[in-house]
Amino acid sequence: MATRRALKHIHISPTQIPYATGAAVQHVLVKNYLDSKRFPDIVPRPVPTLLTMEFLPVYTFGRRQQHDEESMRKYEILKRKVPEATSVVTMRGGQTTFHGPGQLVAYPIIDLKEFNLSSKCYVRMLEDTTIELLKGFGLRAKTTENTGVWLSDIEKIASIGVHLRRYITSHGVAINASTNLSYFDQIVACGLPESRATSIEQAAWDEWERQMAGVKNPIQELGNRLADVLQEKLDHQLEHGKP
Amino acid sequence: MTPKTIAPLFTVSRTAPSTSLFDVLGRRSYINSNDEETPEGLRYTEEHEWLALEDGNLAVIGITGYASKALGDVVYVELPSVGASIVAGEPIGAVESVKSASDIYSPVSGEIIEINEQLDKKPGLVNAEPYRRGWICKILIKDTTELESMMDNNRYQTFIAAS
Repeated sequence: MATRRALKHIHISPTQIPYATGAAVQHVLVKNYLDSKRFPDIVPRPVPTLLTMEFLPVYTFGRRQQHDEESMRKYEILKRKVPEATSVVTMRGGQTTFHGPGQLVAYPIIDLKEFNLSSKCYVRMLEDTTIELLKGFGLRAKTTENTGVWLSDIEKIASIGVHLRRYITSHGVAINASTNLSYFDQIVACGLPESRATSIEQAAWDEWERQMAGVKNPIQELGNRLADVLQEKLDHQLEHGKP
Repeated sequence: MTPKTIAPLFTVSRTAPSTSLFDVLGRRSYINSNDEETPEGLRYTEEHEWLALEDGNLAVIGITGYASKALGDVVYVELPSVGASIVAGEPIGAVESVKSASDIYSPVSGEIIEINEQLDKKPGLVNAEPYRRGWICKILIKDTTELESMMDNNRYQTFIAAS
């Protein structure tokens, strides 16, 4: 029987950070894993880690978009139109999204091999983890044919984009808690024109206010809760083997 | 010391009018019509790439049916550039399904001499025909001894059964 792998949770605190900072921390964590795969006798096996953070406003583009002229034009337009937000092209899957204050960004850095997960199942696990977290606010979120987590067929509350290198995961999920949703007006989130962004605050105002009253850093608190749910999911996966 | 020569798994004359993998593999009876089964005669990596030696040190690389199934529907394939020098174990591109991008690694060092441009328009070929029209690129191998670390079909089957 597989032994439990405890997830280490790191929230980059206390404040909102530039995207580049989060990316740099993520890079170090992934590199540790890759190095340990390459030199198992020299580099000890890292601990599965959940990195959570809250970014300063940033639009991020998916990997395939850098080869697409129209996306790159939009990238230039966004840079001019929303100068307070930075725009970056990333190596993750998926298309354009926004990160900013009031949003929990969670990057699990784990070895899928260790948990017997395929990439498809891993993305589903991230969706399920998010749905579970939202239940705590009385929200009934769901998945649709489009990846991400939705409150209705057109209201998206969380986005997912993942990058895999030798089974090592990076990037992950972004959950709108109290995000300024007008930032999403500038983009066609994840390539779906009819969809719109929503947030925990917008969909469950009372619960959000009640549960976060007196909490010093609500996004960090949300990150702690997400870490607990993800740990449960990973434990379950190890106990029950193939999904 | 002379490097051990590796007998080509199948050969095809480079002067033949068409040597696309589709033609090559299509002619071989060992290719099962079910693309999920791994063909005999190819070599495999733990990252689920396959390699077919076409002629001497010319190899075709793709990702296995097992991998394409685990990824889900491929929506984009990032291909390497023709002429690029590559080092074994380094990423040469990526396959992207709806929300995840997975790097593709070259099992061998050498030079990219051809890429499957069809994948730009039809990335789904990676799912539909991973061992045929879904091939990724052709590489001129620098050192064929690198092939020795790759798995044959039997070992790969055992490997995926255990994972």
